[in-house]
Amino acid sequence: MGLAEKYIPHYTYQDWLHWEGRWELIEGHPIAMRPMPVPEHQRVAAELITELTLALRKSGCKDCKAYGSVDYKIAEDTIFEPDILVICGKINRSYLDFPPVIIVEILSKSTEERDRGIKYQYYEQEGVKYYLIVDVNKKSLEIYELVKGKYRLQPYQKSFKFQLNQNCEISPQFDNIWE
Amino acid sequence: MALSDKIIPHYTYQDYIQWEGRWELIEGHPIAMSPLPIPEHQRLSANLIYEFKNELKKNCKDCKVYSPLDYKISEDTTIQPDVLIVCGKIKKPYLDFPPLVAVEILSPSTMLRDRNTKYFIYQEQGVKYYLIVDADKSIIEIYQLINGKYEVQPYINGFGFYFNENCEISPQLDNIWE
Repeated sequence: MGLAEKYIPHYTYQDWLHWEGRWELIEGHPIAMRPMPVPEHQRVAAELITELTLALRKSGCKDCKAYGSVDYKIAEDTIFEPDILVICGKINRSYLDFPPVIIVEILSKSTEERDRGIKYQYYEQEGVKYYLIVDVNKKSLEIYELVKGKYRLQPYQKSFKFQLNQNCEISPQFDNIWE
Repeated sequence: MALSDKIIPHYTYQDYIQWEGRWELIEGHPIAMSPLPIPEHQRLSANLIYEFKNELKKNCKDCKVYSPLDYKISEDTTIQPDVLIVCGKIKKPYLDFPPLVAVEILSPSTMLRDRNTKYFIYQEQGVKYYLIVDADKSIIEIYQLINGKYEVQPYINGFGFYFNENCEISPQLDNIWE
C-alpha cells in the first residue's frame, strides 16, 4: 500500500460543488472529465441526440426529453455525467436525482473500463431501464435492457423499440449515425 | 469491497496539467485544493513570506521564497506547499528538485496529510526543513533533516536556518502571529 492510501480524502457532493472544471465522483474518488472526447465521439453524440429527439417528437411523448450530459447524483459520494440521457418527468434540482429511462455512454479510451464496469453496475442497480454503449471505432451500439433487475443485451436491426413508460414508446433509427 | 476500488484511474502529471482549478496529485489520486483556505491561513502565509524574504534579502542572493507552486516529485505525485524556499534556478514550469524549506499551514482538511503523507514525502525527497504551522495553537514546529530523518527542533524566535555556506538566515518567526 502506498503511503497516500490511508489519507486520501473521501469526497462528497459538498466538496464536488467547489471544483472547477468537469469531474465525476465515484464512491468519493474524483474522476477527471478531461481531456475532451475526440471529435468523432462528439459527432456521434450529436447524431444520437438528433435521432432520440426526432423519435420523441414523432411519438408525441410530452413527458420525456433527450438531454446532453447532466449531473446524475446517485449518492452523496457518487455523481456521474452520462453522455446522453432520456428523462421522463421534471428535474426539480440543479442535478438529476432519479434514474433516467435511457443512458447512452460513448466509449473513449480513458472511459471504456468504467463504462463497461462500474457504470454498468450502477445504472443496473439504480434501475436505468435502457443502457446503450456506443463504440465509435467498431461502429457498434449495444442496447442493454433491464429485465428483472438485470441488464440483458437486446438484438435489433436499424431500429429498436423503447418503452419509456405506459404512454410513451419510441423507435429511433440507428443506421444513420455512422456515416 | 467498494465497486470503485478496482477501477479508479491512476493519474499522472500529463492528466494533472489538463485539470481546471487547483488540485494536488498524490500517488495518482487527485486531491482537491478548493475551497481556498480560511483568511487566517492566508494571513499567516503572507507573514511568513515577508519574514523569510526580509532575511533572504540581507544574506542570500541565491535563495528565494515562493508562494505555492507545483512541486513535481514523480510522474504520479505533484504537490503545492503553502510556502517554499528554493535555492538555485527553477528552469521548468514546475519545481523538480527539493526546496530547502517547505511550509504547510494546517487546515482541518489537510492536517492528516500534512503530518503524514507530506511529512514522509518531504523527508524522502530531502527537503532540509519542514515547518508545520498550527494556527489554532499558535505554534510552529520545525523539523530538520538529520541523517535523512526529520528531527523536531526546539523552537526559538530567530531559529537559524543554514542553507549553504553563503546563506544562513534567522527569521523572526514570532512576528507571523501579529
